[in-house]
Amino acid sequence: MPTFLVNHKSGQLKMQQMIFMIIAVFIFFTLVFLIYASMNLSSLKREARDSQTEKVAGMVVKLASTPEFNFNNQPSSVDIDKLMVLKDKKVYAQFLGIDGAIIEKIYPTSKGIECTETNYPECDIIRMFTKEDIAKNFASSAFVAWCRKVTVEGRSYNKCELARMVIEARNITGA
Amino acid sequence: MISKIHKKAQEEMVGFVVIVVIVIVVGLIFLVISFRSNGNLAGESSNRLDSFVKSVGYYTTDCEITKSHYENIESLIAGCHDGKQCVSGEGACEKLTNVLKGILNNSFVVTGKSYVIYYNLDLRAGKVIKENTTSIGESIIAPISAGNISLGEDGLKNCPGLRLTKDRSFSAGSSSQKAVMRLEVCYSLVS
Repeated sequence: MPTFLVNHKSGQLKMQQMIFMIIAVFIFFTLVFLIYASMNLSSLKREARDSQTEKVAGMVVKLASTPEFNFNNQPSSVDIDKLMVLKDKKVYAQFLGIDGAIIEKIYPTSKGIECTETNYPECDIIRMFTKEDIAKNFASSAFVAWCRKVTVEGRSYNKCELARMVIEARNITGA
Repeated sequence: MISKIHKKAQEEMVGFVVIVVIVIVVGLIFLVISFRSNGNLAGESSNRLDSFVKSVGYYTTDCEITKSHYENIESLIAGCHDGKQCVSGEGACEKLTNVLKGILNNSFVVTGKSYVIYYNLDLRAGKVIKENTTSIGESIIAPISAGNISLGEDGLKNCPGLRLTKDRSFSAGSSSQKAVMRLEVCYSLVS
């Protein structure tokens, strides 16, 4: 074989090798960039979600201490009598900055009976401003004391049970 | 000579492909870990635990130490500390233990695959030494716990996930006498 032909082939091979290398390097850096970008994006999304959830979690505690919900100035206690009056007044949902709240008795064990005007107080769940189950948007829960005044033989006393309050909020503007 | 160059180029390409595959695998592992990690778990669970220790003290029991006065957990702790009895004849400490067991059992579900791995509630007598400083003494009731609690080499409980503790002090009799409730919960990091 003439020498110029061998040189020509060798040059072609080197060029092919270089092209392959360039393509491979390009694919490699594209993949690295894609992985980095997706990781960054997912962490950003998670941070945004965490921040919203944290705000909602703070709102549960804040809500239990508002005069509309609170019982006897006790921290983390809700007045069930007040909630029964407010539960269908949707204007308060806007005022309180929430979409809905569900308060469910957990001890003594809940039988899952929803509170209505006819069965109150022999019930376990109060749905505030909503008819649905929560957790379509940002939701968080906290323990609260489910309290009301009870009168027995002419004497009234505070009766508190343990409940879980879940609130849902779609648009949270402030902490 | 051509086949020698060809072979060398092939070897280099194979090496490069191997490196790319390794990088992709490592990247995917990182991606999966970053998706699975639960960043907000600590804050949310801490809030929940805090609300629990705050609200549990108001729970009204059916124990009357004085007739027609139903004791809540807070006053039952004081009654137990002072060795009192309910009108029904049941000891205040016995009642307190039973109620707390029921509350914890319904509030923190501990099963094989549950979010809570174990919990432990310890109620101890304390004494206020200075303002905001309480010395912790003997147990008022036996610790209430559930779940898989194993002790490590250091004698501390092993928590493979996130361990959170919350303390709350209650008055127990005189102003300097306190009862300190410590709730420790171990959460699983895998949701």
